[in-house]
Amino acid sequence: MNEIGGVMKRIGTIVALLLATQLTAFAQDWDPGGTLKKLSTRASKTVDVTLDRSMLQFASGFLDAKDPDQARARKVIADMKGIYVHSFEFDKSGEYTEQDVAAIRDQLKGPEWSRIVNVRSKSEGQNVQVYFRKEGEKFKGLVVIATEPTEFTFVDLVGPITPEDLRALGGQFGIPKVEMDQNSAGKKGESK
Amino acid sequence: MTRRMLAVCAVLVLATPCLGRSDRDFNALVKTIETEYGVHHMRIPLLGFATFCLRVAGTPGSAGLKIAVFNDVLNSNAVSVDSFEQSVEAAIGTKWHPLVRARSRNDGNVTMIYANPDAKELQVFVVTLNGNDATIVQTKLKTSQIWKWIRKPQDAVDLDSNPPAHANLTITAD
Repeated sequence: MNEIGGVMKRIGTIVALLLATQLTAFAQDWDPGGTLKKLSTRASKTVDVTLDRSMLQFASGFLDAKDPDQARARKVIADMKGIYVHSFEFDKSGEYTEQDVAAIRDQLKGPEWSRIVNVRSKSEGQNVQVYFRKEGEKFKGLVVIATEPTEFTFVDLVGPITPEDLRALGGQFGIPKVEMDQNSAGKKGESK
Repeated sequence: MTRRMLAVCAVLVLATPCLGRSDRDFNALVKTIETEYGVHHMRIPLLGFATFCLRVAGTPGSAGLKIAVFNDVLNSNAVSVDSFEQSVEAAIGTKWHPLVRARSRNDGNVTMIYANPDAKELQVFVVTLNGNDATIVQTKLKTSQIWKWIRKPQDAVDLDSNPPAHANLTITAD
C-alpha cells in the first residue's frame, strides 16, 4: 500500500513538473516558426526587448496610481505574463519577403486566434496587423505584426490583454502606439 | 594598536556583506571573458574617484558603478560576435533577466542589458561590444531612471538616434 502511495506521489510530482514546464514555456518568448531567428541573421539592426513577469511586476511598482493613464497601465501589466518585442531593420527592401511574414501568420491560425483589427499607417508602405488569442471569452494574449519595406516588428504580449488595454499600453514597453476606434475595440472581425 | 586592529576587523566584517551576489556576478562575468578570450580588462585610473564624483553629482544610473573594459576581444581568438553573446549569456547568473538586446550587423556593435528586479532597486548589467572592444557596466538605477528604461527600453540602446518608424500608427477597423 505504501508502495502504491509512493508511486502515486511520484506521478503527482511528475505531472506537477510537466504542468509547470508547460506554463513556463507558454510565458516565455515565442519565435513563430523560427522566423524571427532567420530574420535576425539578415537584418542590419536588431532590437529585442524582453519584459518578463517579474520585470513587469517590478515596473508596475513605479507607476503612479493617481495618474489615470499610469493607473490603467499598472492594472494591465499587473496581470501580464510577458511582453516581448523584436524589431528588425534592413538595409534595403526585399531583404525579408512576404513568405517570411506568412510563416508567422501561419502560426496565428486556429480557433483561438482572431485578427480583429487591421492597421494601416498613414505613411505609404506601412502595415500593422493585430491578432488576439482568446479562450472562450477570455483574452489570453496578443500579437502585433508591423511591417514596412525595410522594417519588421513583432510584438508578443502574453496575458489577459483586451483591445482597450492595448491602447493603454501603446507607446510604452516597445509596443507601437495605437489609436483604436471605439467601435473597433472588442469587435471581432476577420477570424483566421 | 589593539584598538586599530579592532577597527580594521570591524570594517572588514561590515564590508563583507557589501560584496554581495551582484558583485560576484560582475567579477564572474569579467573572469569568464578574460579566460575565454585570453584578454585582461584594462585598469581605469581614478575610476573610484570618478564614481564617487558621479554619485555626489547625482548622475542618474551612477550608484554602485562597476566598469570593466576589454580591448581586442574578438581579435584575440578569432571568435565571432555570436560566440561572444553566447559566452555572456552562459556566464551571467540566472537572477539576471534579459531586458534589451540590440545588434548592428554592419558595424558589429552589440548591446545587451540585463536587469535584476528582485532587489529593492533595479540593478542592471550593460554589456557592449564595439568592434573588437567590450565593456561591462554594472550599476543600480535610480528610481527616476528605472521608469524611463522600462517604459521605453529601446531608448536604453542607441544604435541610431532615429525613433522606430512604427512608433506612431493608427488602428482602424478591419
